[in-house]
Amino acid sequence: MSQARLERMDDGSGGGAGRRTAEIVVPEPQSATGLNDEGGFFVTRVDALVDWGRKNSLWPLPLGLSCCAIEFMATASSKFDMARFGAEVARFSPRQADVLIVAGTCTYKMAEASRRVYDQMAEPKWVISMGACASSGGMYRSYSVVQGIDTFLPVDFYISGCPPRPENVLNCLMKLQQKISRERPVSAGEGGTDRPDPAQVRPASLPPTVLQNAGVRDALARAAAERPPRP
Amino acid sequence: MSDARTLDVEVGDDRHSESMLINMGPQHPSTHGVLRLVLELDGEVVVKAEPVVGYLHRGKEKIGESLSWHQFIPYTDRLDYLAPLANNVAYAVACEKLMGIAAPPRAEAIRVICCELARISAHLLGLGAYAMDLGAMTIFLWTFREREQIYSLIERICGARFTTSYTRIGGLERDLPSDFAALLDAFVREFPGRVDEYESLLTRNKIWLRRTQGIGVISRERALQFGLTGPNLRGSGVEHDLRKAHPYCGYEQYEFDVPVGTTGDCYDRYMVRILEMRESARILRQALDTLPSGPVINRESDAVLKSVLPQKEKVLTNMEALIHQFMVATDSVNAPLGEVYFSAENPKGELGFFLRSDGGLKADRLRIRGPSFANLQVLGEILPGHMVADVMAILGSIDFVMGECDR
Amino acid sequence: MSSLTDQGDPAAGAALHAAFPEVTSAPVVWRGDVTLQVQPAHEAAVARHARDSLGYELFIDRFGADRGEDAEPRFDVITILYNLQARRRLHLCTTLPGLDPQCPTLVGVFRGADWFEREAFDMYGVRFTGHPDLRRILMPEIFPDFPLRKEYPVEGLGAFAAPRRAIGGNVDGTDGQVAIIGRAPGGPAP
Repeated sequence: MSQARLERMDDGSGGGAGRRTAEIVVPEPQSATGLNDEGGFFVTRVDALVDWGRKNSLWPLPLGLSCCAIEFMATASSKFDMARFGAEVARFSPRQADVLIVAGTCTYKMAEASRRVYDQMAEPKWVISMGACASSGGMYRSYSVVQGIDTFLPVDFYISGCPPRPENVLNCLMKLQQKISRERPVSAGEGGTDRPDPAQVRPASLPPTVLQNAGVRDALARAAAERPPRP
Repeated sequence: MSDARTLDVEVGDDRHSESMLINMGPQHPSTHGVLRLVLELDGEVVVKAEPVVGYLHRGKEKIGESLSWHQFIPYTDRLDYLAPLANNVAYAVACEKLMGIAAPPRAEAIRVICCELARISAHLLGLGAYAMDLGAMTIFLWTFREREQIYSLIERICGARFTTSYTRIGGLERDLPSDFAALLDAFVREFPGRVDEYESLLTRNKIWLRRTQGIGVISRERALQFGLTGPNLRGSGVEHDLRKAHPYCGYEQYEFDVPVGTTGDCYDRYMVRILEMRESARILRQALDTLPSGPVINRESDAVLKSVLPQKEKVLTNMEALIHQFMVATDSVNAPLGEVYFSAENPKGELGFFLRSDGGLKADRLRIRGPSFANLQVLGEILPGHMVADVMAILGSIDFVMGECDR
Repeated sequence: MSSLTDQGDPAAGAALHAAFPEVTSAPVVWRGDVTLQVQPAHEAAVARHARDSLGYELFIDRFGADRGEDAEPRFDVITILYNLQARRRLHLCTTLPGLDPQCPTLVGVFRGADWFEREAFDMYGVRFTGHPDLRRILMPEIFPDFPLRKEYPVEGLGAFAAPRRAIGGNVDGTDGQVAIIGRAPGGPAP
């Protein structure tokens, strides 16, 4: 049986604090079953275990802003029952939640608070934009409504509907579970939202109130510092 | 266990004690939406409370000035989003008052059914969320069971679970389906028993009584000064219900009582809502039994005919009807020059629409008087002196919705 | 329908006008609603009289209205009061100039006017003199304009403007010329 040694380094800067080495015995694959080729059988199983645990206990943070929150409550109630998916534990504290469900219209005034809630969540975290208003401003094309939370939050899934039916929300939850089961948290360090953060990618489209958020300002300052100086 | 130590705690009044500034919301499970309360606490006791609203201001009044009369109907659903049908009815009647149109009797009776179903639905959610905030989660699940039944009924009526856009100026979008009467009958038969179930858990529950009696007392004078309406006003002993004072949609035909509280505390408001649900069931029974036949949209006179949507069957086959439908639905109609105010007894209070028309297709000023805006203002005066845990009880008993507060 | 147009009391309006003959107008009745024009400086006194002597003790609403950029006087402030005993409503209307509209506060008569006046300030820029805490209530503090004024576009201006979008396709606030399809009634052609 051949042995392989896996090394993982956090970044190429070569600092002692960034290196982590794990020695794992990797047997030859027994058969070409199409299991995860990288990392081998055991790490794949650990990935799958972690994914299974994560996807079946997604604790949502319902950022219930308006009408979609009522449909979210209906989804959590007996008839549609989100508890079947392990997602019944709606934690209103961002420290304890996995997935931020923005349900309702996000106004400019609320955007800063929403961003702050997102920042306080621990990795891995995902964002679901529920309803037309959160996804694109919905029917409110007005001076006070953010035309889509993806201007300041990295969104994994958009649920359309005004409001989306509970079946729609559950469908999205299932899709999120499928997405999570494709992640490789242990073998490749991937987990949580893979969408780029708009604060770093598209700072020009951030709502003006979000710029008051200290976390966002820090991110922008860091991005500005890392940008190569113009010739 | 470590050694017991006595701690010297200064409890004198003349000592300066720092008060704590706590922010509750806008993201908080018990604020029922995006309300923010800035509380100044002295230990557990609230010294000063400042509600901050506006986190859901979507610019509806401005949007109303840029859309035609009919196009605004979907926006009214999202005002009090727990009772969309009631908002639809209030707006439609306000437009009808402005334009001098009357809806036919069948439409009025169906509107009453819609309003009362909306009232039950809103009170159920208010009660469920209120109880859940105080720790009684069971009620939430039970009330949602009834709400799902109401959603099924509403879905039978108009196709949507809760953003209904069901009324039109001059009547309703469509008639009731043929099996609706049986479904509503089954619901109305069962509903009082359900309310008995909720009451069996709460009304004489010692914990509930301790947490709601004597808490959040709103005096009559304060209620009138702040413009409280609905169950909040009636809980404080003021017998004022727009369904009795200015009956609209034929409410004068139905027999029902208006529950009025005595002390104005949270328990009284809770009891007012429970009894209102029972009265709503009574009204539903009467409306169902006496439902007149006829059209659901007024097409009698020419002037009215130009203002209302034509029959859908004709629209699909007749060119003139199609053009008519297009014009009324998009460009709508010219309203006469003038301004009116109409308010309906919504579950949360008096929802008023002030419509000013310059004779054109759109409103010149569309003011929405949301009951929750007035109801929330009183928090600044009644929260001080209570403990933080009582804040949840008071918020739940005021039963506001940010959709109609911020518009 | 009859109770819809029977919600105001013209006699009470006339009595109020008789008590304040110079500073109020004769009551205007339309669709049953009774409206009195009141001069701004005396609005508080008129409201106090209506509350104490005529029984209009329930405060219903207070809001602003804009008659248009070119109208003079431009702004209205409308107050709605209700008489519980008689079950009748009363509207008081003051008109203010377009430039620096100011109106004395009604907070001394009805404490509930507080937030309503803050909203009128927020939306129209009407300053209420004597108000204990006149600041924005619905819009964020950094919002620079008064959105319900007629010249302010519904889609916002400046940093608060909604980005131009195409129907379907990608959304990017920084893109240039994109067709706007679907006009509001009476709006410009696409």
